[in-house]
Amino acid sequence: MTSNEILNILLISTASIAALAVIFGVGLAIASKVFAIDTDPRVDKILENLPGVNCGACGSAGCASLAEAIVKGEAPADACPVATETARKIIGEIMGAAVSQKERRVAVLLCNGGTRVDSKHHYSGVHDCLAASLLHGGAKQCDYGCLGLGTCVEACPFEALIMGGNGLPQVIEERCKACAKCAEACPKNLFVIQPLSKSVHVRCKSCDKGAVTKRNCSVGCIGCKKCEKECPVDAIKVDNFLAQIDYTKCISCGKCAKVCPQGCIADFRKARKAGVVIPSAAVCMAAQQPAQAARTA
Amino acid sequence: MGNLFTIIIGAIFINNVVLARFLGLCPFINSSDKTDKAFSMGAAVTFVMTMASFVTYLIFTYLLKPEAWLLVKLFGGTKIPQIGLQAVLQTAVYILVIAALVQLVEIFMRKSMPALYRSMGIFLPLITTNCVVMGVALLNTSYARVELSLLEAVIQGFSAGIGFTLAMLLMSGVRERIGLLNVPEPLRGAPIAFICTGLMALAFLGFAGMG
Repeated sequence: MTSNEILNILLISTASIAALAVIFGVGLAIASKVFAIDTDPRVDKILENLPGVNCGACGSAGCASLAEAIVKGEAPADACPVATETARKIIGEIMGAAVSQKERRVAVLLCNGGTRVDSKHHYSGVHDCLAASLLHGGAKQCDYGCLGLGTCVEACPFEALIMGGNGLPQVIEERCKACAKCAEACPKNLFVIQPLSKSVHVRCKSCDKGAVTKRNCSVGCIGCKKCEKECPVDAIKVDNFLAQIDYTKCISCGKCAKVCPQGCIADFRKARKAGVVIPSAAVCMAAQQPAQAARTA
Repeated sequence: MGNLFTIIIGAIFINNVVLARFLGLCPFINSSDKTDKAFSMGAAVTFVMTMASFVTYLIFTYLLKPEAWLLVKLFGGTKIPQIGLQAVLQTAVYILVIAALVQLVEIFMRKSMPALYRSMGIFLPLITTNCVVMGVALLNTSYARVELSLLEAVIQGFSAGIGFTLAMLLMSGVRERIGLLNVPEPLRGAPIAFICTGLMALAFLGFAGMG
């Protein structure tokens, strides 16, 4: 091949690549015009201020679709229950809508049993509460209590739940964004999402008769009605052998917690003030290890 | 007709792009954990591969190969038509074609199926660098054992895509079950997926025979 021919091939190659590039470029330009979508600049701005974890707590498919819904007016500006107060304010400013102040809410586990409740059979199936609960309602003696397999811990998108050493998941209230994923995941329906100021909770869901509950669990509600008599605002009622709090009436005075003979009513007020309900990171790590070891074993 | 049938069976089962030629393992492992994701990935790759087969075949036949029509037309007297541009230009041109097609698919999907577009994320543009598309384009043209017609090339590209989708769907079924099992920690995720791929490849070897 002469140098002239090589030069020719070079030129032809360059020319044909350039020609193809122009053809494709024009084609794509036309395509992008034909398939153009009008995006509102506000959508991106709102999306920046949303948490971006796509937890679905707002009811939309994810943060992006919520942002679109807010701009379209299909959702209120404060629809995201997870966003911080400042982020919600910014979104309100973008939309020019007033944003209501919402009190921060957290998830609370309504079971105190854990390792205190004996097993009724040995379960060695899939490590998942839902799967375990399909087999005779789970391996625990108590049919209403926590199975302790940590499905809620895995469901939490914010790592706000850890498996405690006592066989119960613990809510790290600092991290909890009240997205209610844990409540959805729990086959026993043991989580409630309540404002931080509602600090008194009956940590039991057992509707068994008192004697049965007492046999199964040392901290279960036996339906003795002491709390009902003590309550100054009639907020707590025993129904179906289980004390239940009407949170709209409850003033979180904590009197019921004091008289409960089983100790199943918890008052988080002092602990929340002191910040000890939230286990420190070191405690969390230590508590998580046995649970993980149990899973891999 | 019989020829086309042979091509279809050959591309889907005997020379399955993933399980016999080991092309496109990156999206195969990454997108095969959920069945719907696997299916949409397979569909996107199939579309790009069919289109790419069509365009690259035309470019190869009329521009790149020795004695190509366009070369003879333009440089009749010189040596260039004898040599052809295949050795110089093939890779670059094919990548250009594939990239443009992926862009087209992306623009189209963003408009008409935004939810799917978001769930595919980065793997959609990554089809550009997916060796399975390039591999099929090459197998249709310069690496073809016998010279194929345009229809045969397109059918081969399409069936290779179906073969890819089939492998993805089989794998996603396997992996959805693996998700419920207690896999030893070091093998979780991609390692066990590769082991399964190997076993599936062994099974697919049955189609090729032990000749």
